[in-house]
Parts: sequence; structure tokens; C-alpha cells
Amino acid sequence: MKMNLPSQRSFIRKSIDAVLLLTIFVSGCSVSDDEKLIQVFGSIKVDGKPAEGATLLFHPEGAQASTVASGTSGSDGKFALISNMKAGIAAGNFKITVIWPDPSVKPTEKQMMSGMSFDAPDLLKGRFVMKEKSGLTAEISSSTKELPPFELKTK
Amino acid sequence: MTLQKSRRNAFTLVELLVVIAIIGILVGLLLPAVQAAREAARRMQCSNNLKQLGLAIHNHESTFKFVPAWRREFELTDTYARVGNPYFALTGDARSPFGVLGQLLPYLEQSTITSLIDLKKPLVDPVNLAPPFPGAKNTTAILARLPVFVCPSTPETKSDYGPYFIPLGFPSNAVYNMPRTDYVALRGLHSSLAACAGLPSLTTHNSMLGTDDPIKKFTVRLGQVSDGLSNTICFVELAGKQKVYFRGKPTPGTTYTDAGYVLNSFYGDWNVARHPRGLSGALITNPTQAGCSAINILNNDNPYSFHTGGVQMVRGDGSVSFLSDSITNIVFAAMVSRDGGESVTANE
Repeated sequence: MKMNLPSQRSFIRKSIDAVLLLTIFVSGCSVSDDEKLIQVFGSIKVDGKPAEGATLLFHPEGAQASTVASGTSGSDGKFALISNMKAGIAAGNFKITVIWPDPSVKPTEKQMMSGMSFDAPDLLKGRFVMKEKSGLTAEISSSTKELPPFELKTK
Repeated sequence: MTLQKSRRNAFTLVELLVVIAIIGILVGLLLPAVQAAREAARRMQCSNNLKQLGLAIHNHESTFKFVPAWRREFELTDTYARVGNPYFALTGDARSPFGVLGQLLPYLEQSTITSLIDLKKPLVDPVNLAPPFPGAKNTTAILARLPVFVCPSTPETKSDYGPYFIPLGFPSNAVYNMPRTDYVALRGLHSSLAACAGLPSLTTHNSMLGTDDPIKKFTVRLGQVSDGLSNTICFVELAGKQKVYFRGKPTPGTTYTDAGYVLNSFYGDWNVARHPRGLSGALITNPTQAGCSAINILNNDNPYSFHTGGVQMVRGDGSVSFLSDSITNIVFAAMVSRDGGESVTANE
């Protein structure tokens, strides 16, 4: 079988070139958009004891930033910060608010099923809910790993 | 010579393979485009349904000079509503008539169904219910699946609400099929999301169709929407509620909400309107963890759809637009409240 006719070979080569070009064209459009999020941990104690289930919100200062980061403490009072569904927090200065819903107050199954709204009472009695009044701040830079523990008092 | 000529007329194996490979690549390129076009068509239908709801609100307003709040409860003294209802003691929720979507039925060209139900009686009255509810006969109306309440982008799932009704004391050897809806009104803002927007940490009831007293204040006049009808959300998508979805995936686990026990029928109960919560959106194992994201995270209380990038909403003026999931909490909170006095508005 005589296959090596010049025109046939160039046809195959051209086809292969076309396929390669297409592959490069298709795979060439990926964009990366990672804002620098810093993995930051912290801990919260209320009246000297680790507070379980407290939610800390980190409100950025300055008009440009709008993403509020959050952290919810575990049974040891430790929390990791999350912003926009991703682990971490952007660098900057933050005002912090804290809510600590009573972990012992849970909605009944009937309340949950019928979709009624439910709010467990704040064990901190709303003292740290407003960012202007909470008096809690944090400065986060690219080298921050762990924040100094938050020690709150209810009395 | 003639032999060679006939050979030149045929394709070789390599040529054939190359052509097939190219066709394969082209089809591979085309398929996602076709899928995207189909989803775009479904989304269009979905937004048209929202438009109908927005128009129905205004038709209702033209007739009565008010729009129905998300829910109404009968007074205990309302004997017409109470008498002859064996479920009154059973559910404790028997004072609730049809929610806002049910009240809008006559304005959605569903007068056939409207004539078969009694809007002045509770939705759990035998007059309004279908078997297997004892004594109930209304199969046509209440089991009707109304396309206007369903978003085609949402995956179809079974809608057996037995796990919801059987614990309430209804017969256990029956299938409780209910039609579903993918649209809800908002009642206001949950305290967890209000805190993210820098507002006082209170659960509010001042949305477009909001009320905190469904017995006495079950109407909303358009004059009460002082933020402006075009700056206030009327209905949003909250899709796929027979299952609990977290960021596009059904949640694992064994909680009652996994089985879809939350009732989301159009005539429904408290589920016809929700308080959006602030959620972290970080862990599928802890989907309700508090945080500051609100849209397309969890389809229990929050706006949720199966479109990418956000949900569709109809504003008080009847315009349908897209609510991006990257909207800031402050803007979203302003869009929810009808009389918050904010000056912000969401971009298209």
C-alpha cells in the first residue's frame, strides 16, 4: 500500500495542526481571581469560660470594603474566620460584634417543620451587637495567624 | 492506471479517523452551548412566572386597594372558619387560611381552582383538602400542580408530605402528595443577617408583604411601601424545597428537613414566606452555621435557585430582575425592607 503521497501527508499534518490549535484556543480562557485571604483563628471567653456557639462578625472599616467576615466558636471557644464562603479574612482594621444565642434553647420540631422563625435569646443581652458600641476591634495583617483571645463579661 | 484511479477516490483509514475526531471535538464544543441555551429558556420561563406574580399583586391591589400580607390568621371568634373543622385541635395551625400565593389565585387566571376552594376557610379544612385527609374530597383543586408556581430550572422531586402530616395525627397508611412552589415572599430580615448589615440585631417583619400580626394586620397598602416599589423585593425564588440543598448539592445527614418535611405548597403555612438568615456557607456538614452570606447558600430560609450567580426576584413595581449572590448585606437588607428609609438600590 502506497500511502506517502505528498498531498495526503500534508492533509493529515494540517488536520493535526488544526486540532492542536483548537485545543489551545479552548483551554486558553481560564481566569484566576483570588483576593488575598489570610487564615486567622481566635478564641472567645465569656466570664472566664469558653463560649460555645458565639458568632463574631468582623465589619471592615473604610468605605471600600464591604465583606463582613464571620466566625462561630466551637465548644472550646475557638473560631476560624470565614468571608464570602471561603476560609480566611482580608487584611485591614475591623470592628467586631458578637452575638451568643443561648445554645440550650432550641426550636421544637413542630416549629421547625411549620417554618416559624425562631431566635434563641442572646446570652450577652445585646451588649456587643452594634459595631459602634461593642468596643471590640482587631487589626489583621498578612502575618496575623491568631488573634488575642476575646474576654467578654456579662456583668 | 484505472486501478490506481479508483483507489484515489476512496478515503484512507487515517483520513476517516481524523474527520471523525474533528466532528467529535465540534460536537463536544456544541453540547455545553445547547445545555446553556436550554437552561436560559427555563430561566426565562421562571422569570415569566415571577412577572405573573408581580402583576397579580397589582391586580389584587386594583380590586381591593391593598395587597395580601404573606399570611393571615382567622380570629378565634370567626365561626365560619372554625365550625366543622376536625383538624382544628390537631394541627394548632388550623386558623391559617391560604397564604399570599393562594390569595392571588384569582389574579393568576386560576379561577377554575379558586371556585373549588373556599378562601374564607382554613387550608386544613375538609372543604379545601384532598384525601387521604379524613372526610376530604377536594382532589381537583388542592392536588393541582400549577406551572406558574414552579420554576422549570428546579430538579423534580417527589412531594410526599407524609412525614409532615403523620406526626400531627393524620392516617399513617397514606401518601400525602402536595404540589410545590419555588417562589416565596419575604417576611423581613432575620436578626443574624441584620447584624451583618450593621443594623440592630432584630428579626424584622417590614418586607413588602410582611406583617408581625397576621390576625389583625393581614393587608398591606402600597402607600406603606415608603422605600419605593422599585426598591423593594416582592417575591424571590426559593427552589427545590422537598430536599435541603446547600450550594447546589443535596445535604447529607438524617435531619427531618432532609426528607423535605418542610411544607412548601403554594397555599402553605408559615413556609410561604421566610426570614433570610446570615449563613457562613463554608461547611456542608453544618449548613446553618451563622455568617454573612445570604443568597444561594441553603434553601431553607434564604433565596435559593438553580441558576448560577444568584436568584431572580420580582420587585414591588412588578419588574423582574436578577439578585446577584455577591450583593452586599447592606443593599440586600435595604431591598427587603419596605420602609427602612435607605437610599441604596440593587444594580441590574
